Amino acid sequence: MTTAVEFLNVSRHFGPASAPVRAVDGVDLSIAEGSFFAMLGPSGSGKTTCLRLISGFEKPTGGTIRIFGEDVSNTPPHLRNVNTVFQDYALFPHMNVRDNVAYGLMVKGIGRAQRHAKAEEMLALVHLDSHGDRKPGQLSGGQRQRVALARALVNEPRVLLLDEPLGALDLKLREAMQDELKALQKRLGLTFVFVTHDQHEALSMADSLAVFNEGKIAQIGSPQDIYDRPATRFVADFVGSSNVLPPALTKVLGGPAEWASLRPEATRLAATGPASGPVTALRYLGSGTRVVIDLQGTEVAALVPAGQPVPAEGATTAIAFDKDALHLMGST
Amino acid sequence: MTASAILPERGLADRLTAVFWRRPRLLLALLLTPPLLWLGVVYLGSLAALLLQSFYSIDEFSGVVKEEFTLKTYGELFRPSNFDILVRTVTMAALVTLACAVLAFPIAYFAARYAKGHWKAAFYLGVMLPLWSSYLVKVYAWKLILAKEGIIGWAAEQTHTSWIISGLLSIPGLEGSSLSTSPIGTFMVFVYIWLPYMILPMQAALERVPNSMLEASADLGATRAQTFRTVVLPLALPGVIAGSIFTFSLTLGDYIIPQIIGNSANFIGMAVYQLQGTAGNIPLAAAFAVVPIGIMLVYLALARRMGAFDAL
Amino acid sequence: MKTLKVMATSTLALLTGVAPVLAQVTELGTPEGQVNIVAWPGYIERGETDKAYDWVTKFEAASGCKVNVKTANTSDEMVALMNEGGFDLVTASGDASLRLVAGDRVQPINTDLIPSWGKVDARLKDAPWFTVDGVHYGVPYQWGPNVLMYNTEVFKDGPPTSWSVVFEEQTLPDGQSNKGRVQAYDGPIHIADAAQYLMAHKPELGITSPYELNEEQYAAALDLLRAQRELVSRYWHDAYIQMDDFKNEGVVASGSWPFQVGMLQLESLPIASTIPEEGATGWADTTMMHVDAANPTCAYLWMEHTLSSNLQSDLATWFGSNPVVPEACTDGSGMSTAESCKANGMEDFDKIRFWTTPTSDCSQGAGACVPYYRWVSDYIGVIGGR
Repeated sequence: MTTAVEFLNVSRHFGPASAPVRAVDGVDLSIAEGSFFAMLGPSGSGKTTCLRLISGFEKPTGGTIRIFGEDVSNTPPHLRNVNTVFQDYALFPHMNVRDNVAYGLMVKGIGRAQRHAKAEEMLALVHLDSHGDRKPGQLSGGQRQRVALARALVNEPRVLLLDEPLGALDLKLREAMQDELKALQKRLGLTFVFVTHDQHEALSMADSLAVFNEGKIAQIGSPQDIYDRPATRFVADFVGSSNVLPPALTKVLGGPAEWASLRPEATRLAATGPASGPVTALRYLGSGTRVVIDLQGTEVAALVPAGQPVPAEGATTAIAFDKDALHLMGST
Repeated sequence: MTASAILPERGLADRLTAVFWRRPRLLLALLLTPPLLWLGVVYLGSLAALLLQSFYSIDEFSGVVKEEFTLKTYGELFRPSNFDILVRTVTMAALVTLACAVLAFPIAYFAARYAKGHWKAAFYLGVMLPLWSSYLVKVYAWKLILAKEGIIGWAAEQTHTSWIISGLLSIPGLEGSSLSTSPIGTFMVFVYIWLPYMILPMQAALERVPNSMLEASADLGATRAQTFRTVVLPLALPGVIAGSIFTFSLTLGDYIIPQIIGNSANFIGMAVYQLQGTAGNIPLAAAFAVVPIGIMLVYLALARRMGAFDAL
Repeated sequence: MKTLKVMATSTLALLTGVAPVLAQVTELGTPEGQVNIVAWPGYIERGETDKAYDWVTKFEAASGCKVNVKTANTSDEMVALMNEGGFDLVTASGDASLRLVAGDRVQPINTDLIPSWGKVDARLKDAPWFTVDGVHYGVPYQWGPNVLMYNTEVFKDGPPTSWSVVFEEQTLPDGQSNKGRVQAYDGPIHIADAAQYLMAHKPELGITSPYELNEEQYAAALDLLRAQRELVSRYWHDAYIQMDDFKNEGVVASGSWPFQVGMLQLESLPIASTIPEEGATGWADTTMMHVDAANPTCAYLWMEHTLSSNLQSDLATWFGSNPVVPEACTDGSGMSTAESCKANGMEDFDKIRFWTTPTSDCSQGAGACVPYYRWVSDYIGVIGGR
């Protein structure tokens, strides 16, 4: 399989050399062609900077970036065969939708008739065939998002970069667009690089994802890897609603003295067990109830499926789980 | 004892607020009446009076204003000497506007896109500072700067570049014994005086262009020049138009600068001043005064057709 | 209300075709305590600009009339203020005085009530700009010529003898052309200066007064001014700008006022003035009394005061003008001396043609002359290169 994007020890520092802000700090990364790759992390973790390093809006302070094997470290954005869907869509308000989509072709000098035909084709792809004459201001958020997508695809880029493209949409629309994006990516067979801070979005859409923390990649792998086997406490904490157990508690619960993650849905309530404590919070989720228990000062959540008895707040309870549900993450 | 669901009124302010809450239009009406009266009666009223006067004419023999509707006065505007004034003023206003736009754009662009913190403060200070001193003081200062024995002439002499100035001053139509008595001087002073009025709206417009818009353009393959032409300029156009309305109309109406700097050839403002004064030719003065209004209306219509306000 | 009343009476007068009978004051009562005057800036000084120049304070103490001055910058402003009413007196120039008389805004003066009337320059007593059908509508205040100001370093062999230095292209005594080095007044009244030049140089035109020009004479004057346009790089209308141009722009000759000459000489610049052989135009101001003056006694007392030798003498040096009371030059009552009066043009009265507003009805016949409003538009054309 060909590598679409490759980072070799890439850094991007801001501010003075004496006290730099290390937005991206020695990142190694490889994105396979045709994959849907997500960059996940809290704000300020360096994921957006990484995306901008691919598009060329940031220049690396150190390291090498390759796109399809070619070093692009010194290539300006307009000469890179990658396109971006911006977080705020960045549609040109003074042009109608068709001209927005055809913009990439216009600057290449392609004739009006030809570029308009191609633009209509792209608009059909995102189900906006009849909206070519409207101005961006007359569209809904979801429609604007599709226009931005069509505009970015018109140049037939080898890599499509998406910077939190669904962030501004409401929940229902977001879920619909997630499915649509995924389907589009499959159909086109394009490499999508997707930045998000929403772990559900990353997990549900990506073929593989990188979790960013403080300018470094904390873990890279498939959604299952990340969710079931978080490499660090940060990943466990950020990605799932996993319980993170300190070494002492892990030991009490029958494991080695290491940090461990334990998924709530793998955690059951039990009358007795090695550790027990009071129920501090209850949250009804429809498909079940999330029960939070204070075990030796650590809050541990268990998911009680619908139909099973739920303890009252303040009642003392213990927990139980299968041995292999406990994922160990080392002693530090 | 439980508190009442309705709090007691504390005084007039509470009662008034309640009245305005019940009748939201009342507050609006109260707020808008004085300015609308001012605009409608004083401003538009005087404009209407001006328009009316311009349809009167002056009696050839007695010099008395005849209060009968006629287009004769407007016809007089096309007499060569009067038409010269219109052409001269409009040409000057157009050139001044163009020069202001060209000079202001880089400054406004820098201020809007790059200047931060102290630099931004320095920018505002630099642009606004000239506006704080008296207009007349600045014009008189320029008279000295441009004078034959002023600093520009002196510097040219010291650097043996006087030939440049003499060359400029020998161009037909721009002749003068020095920059201060040539239309070039008038032009320079106009540009200097009105430049801030171009920079500020331009800068405001450029500031509203999100950075992502420029990045999107580059991302889609546009060169800097293409981005400038197809994205920055159209988006900044409302600001450029706003600025040009200032520089254009201010130049159209000014009568002080061409009186002090230049070759004394009349501009519209000067003609209005002279005609309404001792000459008592109020109709012709009014007709002259209507011209800039007409020009601005045409200008705005053209700007609108060109899409200057699409990005608003 | 007052305006309404004035308008009503004027309309009535127009309708009936009868001019209202204008009563003149026959005797003075007790001073009313104040007098309100519309005046040119610098004309009525109470020592606030310069302590040495004060001709109000003593009058107020002696008469008990407080002097309230409203300054006006143009003749039009003066006429407008007088139309509004509320003033007793105005220092009107020749272009405003007849308008005020024609509009019945001012009343005849009883010269018997002004003891100093007899001291007034005989040349001014019946001047046409305030005397209509033998009736005096005011008291002369000051007068002055429009002189030819020149640079003494350029004209080192003596003053220029003709206005031709500003009207016709020629080589000046310093060997350089006058092109771009002379100025002219930026007001239509400058057409009169051209007409006066033509009176001397083109007698065949038959010009008798530079303010009364028929079409042919007028066209000749405009032609002369068009030639002058080639020589003048900037016209002057503001005294201080003209002074600056003589200092910084290399201007060496121009029509001007004694005021600028005096100011530049104060700075020890090589500047002098002359009245060339063709003569000069000039201005003469008159104190006129409002038809509805509320303070007639104080107004008469002030008019009498304006003719005092001391006031005339000081005002003449202050303003660069000439007293209307000849003895003010020689009696040592103020700052004027025979020399200063001579410098201001006191002896050149006969060479001066005083400014009056050109009207179409003139001594050449009704409708024979070009009226002032055409002077304005045509002079605009001349300056614009037409």
